[in-house]
Amino acid sequence: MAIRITVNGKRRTITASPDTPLLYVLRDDLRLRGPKFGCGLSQCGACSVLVDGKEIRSCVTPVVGVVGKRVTTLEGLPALYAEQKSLRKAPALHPLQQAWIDEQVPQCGYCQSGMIVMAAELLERKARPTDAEIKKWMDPHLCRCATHNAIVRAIKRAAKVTSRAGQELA
Amino acid sequence: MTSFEQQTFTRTGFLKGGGALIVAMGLPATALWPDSASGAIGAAHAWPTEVDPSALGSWLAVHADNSVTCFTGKTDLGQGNRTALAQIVAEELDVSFGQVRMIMGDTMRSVDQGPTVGSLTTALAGPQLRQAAANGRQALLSLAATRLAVPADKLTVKDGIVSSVTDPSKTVSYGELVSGSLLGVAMPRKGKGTGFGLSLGGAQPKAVGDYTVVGKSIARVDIPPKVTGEWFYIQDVRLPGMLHGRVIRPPGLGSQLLGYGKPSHGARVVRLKNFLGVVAEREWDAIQAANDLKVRWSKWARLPTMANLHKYIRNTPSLEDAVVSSVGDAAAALANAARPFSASYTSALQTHGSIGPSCAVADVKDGSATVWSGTQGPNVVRAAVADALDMPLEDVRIITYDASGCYGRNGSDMATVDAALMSQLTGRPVRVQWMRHDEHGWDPKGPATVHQLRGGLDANGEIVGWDHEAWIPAFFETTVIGSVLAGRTVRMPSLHLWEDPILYDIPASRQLAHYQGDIGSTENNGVGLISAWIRSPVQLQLTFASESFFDELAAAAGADPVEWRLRSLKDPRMIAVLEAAAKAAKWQTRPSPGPNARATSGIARGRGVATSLRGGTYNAAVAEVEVNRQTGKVRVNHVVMVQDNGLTINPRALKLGIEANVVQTVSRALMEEVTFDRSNVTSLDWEGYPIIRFTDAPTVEVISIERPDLRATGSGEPSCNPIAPAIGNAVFDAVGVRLRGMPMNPKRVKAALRQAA
Repeated sequence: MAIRITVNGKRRTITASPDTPLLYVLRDDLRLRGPKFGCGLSQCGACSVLVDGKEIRSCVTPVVGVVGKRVTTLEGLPALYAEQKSLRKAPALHPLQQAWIDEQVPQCGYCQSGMIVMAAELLERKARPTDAEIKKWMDPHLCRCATHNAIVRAIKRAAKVTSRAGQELA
Repeated sequence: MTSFEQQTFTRTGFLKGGGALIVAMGLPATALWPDSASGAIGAAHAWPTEVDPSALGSWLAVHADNSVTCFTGKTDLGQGNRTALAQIVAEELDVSFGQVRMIMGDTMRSVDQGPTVGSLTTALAGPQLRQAAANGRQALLSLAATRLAVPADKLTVKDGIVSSVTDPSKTVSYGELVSGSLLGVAMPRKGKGTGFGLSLGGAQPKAVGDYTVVGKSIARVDIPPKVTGEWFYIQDVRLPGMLHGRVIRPPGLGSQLLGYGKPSHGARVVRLKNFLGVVAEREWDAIQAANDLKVRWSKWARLPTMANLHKYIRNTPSLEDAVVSSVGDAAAALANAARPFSASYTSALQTHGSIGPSCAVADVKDGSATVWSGTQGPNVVRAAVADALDMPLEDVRIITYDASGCYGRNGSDMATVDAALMSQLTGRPVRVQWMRHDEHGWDPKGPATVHQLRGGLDANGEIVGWDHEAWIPAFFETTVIGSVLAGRTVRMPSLHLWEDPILYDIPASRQLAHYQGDIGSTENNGVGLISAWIRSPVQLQLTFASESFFDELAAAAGADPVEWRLRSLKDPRMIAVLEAAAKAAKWQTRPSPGPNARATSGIARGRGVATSLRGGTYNAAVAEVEVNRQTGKVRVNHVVMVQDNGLTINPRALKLGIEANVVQTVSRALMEEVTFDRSNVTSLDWEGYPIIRFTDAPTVEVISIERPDLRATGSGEPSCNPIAPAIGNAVFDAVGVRLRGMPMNPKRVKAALRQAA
């Protein structure tokens, strides 16, 4: 059946059975490469995306479940950030993406889309999280290359930027 | 829409001649880039069996815009080979780093430099590329000398612009020199070595002191697209008309396929003997159909029990025994020792645990096979695919894309053969991605091992003898499961290197290997729990045993573990890394166990040290741990890791790679153990096989000892080796109890504490 969903600010119509996990729609129909298949069991977080700003596991979320909601993948983070911070124009990179580059976080990088998406929700909830808060928040996500420490450094670096952004408007 | 297939399939066939071509060509550089160029070649083709290593054009292409493409048989497994190798090429060619692009692991276009294993890329492939680039620079300078009418020794190069030393107005770019022309330069080969052993001659490479690109912390080129979602992983490759395939594996290693029902969701069953799968137009349909399909398999339950695993390994007749090293008469020295000691150590089966299950896309038609793979060894898997499809080697092309990290031979090669078989059976391009249970269940397992250690002290507490006997996998080959199931038995070449020099100066010693087959293989016609090393081949397990037991001797002699090691070390590089580790860790000189080890409740803290030498790379680690005496949980709080790998190509990438490797190995040392029943593996997801998470990851201090004057040795793996023994030694320091089994999980810790009480 035809299903209308909103992904990264764009309305898309796809033809799929309603129980199809969102992940396969994003990857196979919309050809997005940010979200990854990792386990299909909601155990690892490689497939994470934001739905109305909250992290969900797209590998176990039926596509009908996001109808009428706003899906944001790794690719859509800069635009979402611009909206959250009332910026006139979306930056090329979300501050987390820039921090991931600055800290040279990824090894293979396969899990990092889910990590960045997860961290994006954290920084919306908590402007300057402590190391312990970051680790606890990120704990449901697996990284086999074991870049955990670099990820924590990158989130702290990004938080310095995101916590100040939009202040000039306040 | 800039889809993969559009980029891929509009630029066809431009390189049919493979390695016979170029240093030149007027092609735009972008046409050669891996994210746009790989893909369909014309239907009729016989691709070269070997890309000729002695042709300069097999390695380098210089483009009109003065950029350079370098072809390498190596792949990037996530540790930054692409960047490091490009640094080496840029350095030697005198172009800026940004001018070099790498094409990696395409059997039609890149020289076979051996699979990307064993931390051998910068160590062995680096010098090959360095020599090719040095020869390229020389050839280009010679052209420039003619063009500018200036002798070559009066020319200088910067960023690929050649200019006269005496008359700076005379300049020409590399791109201008070669544009539109072919430059067929042959390079001398030294000896007959291929792959790892390939050795090239020619121009004298640069002196290390002149380096401006190598040794710099250049940002990795793959990272920006990896954080925006633009990067193409093997999992992202799509072909027009492609089917999605899923494999259905037998419940027992030796189960026979008896029959199956009708597939659901419009899927088709593909079957060849015991090889079974489904294909469908849509991925979710294939997944559901694979789940739903009713399959009857024969029962098979002849694996040893888990409890009996190590006894089984030790009692199964070995395929071959080999004395790895022998100094003096170890047996006599041990028999005559005033204080003899003996202990056995074990390690568990572990999974590579890639976050992304293995994936491949194959297009088998018109008598040829083009296969996109996440393999570490394109040429190795090329042969496996040719065998599995019963095709000549020259009709098979493997194109490599980066995959989820593998840390050794995960399921990639197996999935590659699965995709090839399914494409051959359906006549359509097929993409196979393994499900989580396939990867956890059927990736070749990091093997379980058994070790018998014997050591002797004289009356003065000095070591007089050492004996390390190990039951480890033979690894003459790795079984490709899809081929076996399809009745086309294929075994891929593998390595069984025990490369564990005895680090210490001991008067009499022996190391003896009992090379074993895969677990259960004698019960199932040679196909057991298929194994393949996870970093670092055999040495992780050997070092756990030897460096733990060496610590046992230190404790028996009442010696401080660092001083004890320094007393028997002669190699100045090893002494330097050990001293640096002790200093950084603020090591307090005293014997283990520590003063509070005898307490019976609460949290105990301890520190442990260990060293290793792998492929010329020296490591020393100090681990600081907490042991919860009630729960048996060991927590590693901090690790100091010192490494000396000679010349470092990219210091920052090196340190980040080591930091990650340390944390990964802490996970393996403390928690990772594949479970199985009498039929097959039972730890089929992340709940059954947990790995380390953020809250348990230790902080890591990485110290790199710079020795630019010494050849670059590997770095991807070596730092994993001292981790497990450093942790075990720290636990002993904390609670006075020796852990002789890996992983050092709460169950083993509590059992050891109970036994000691």
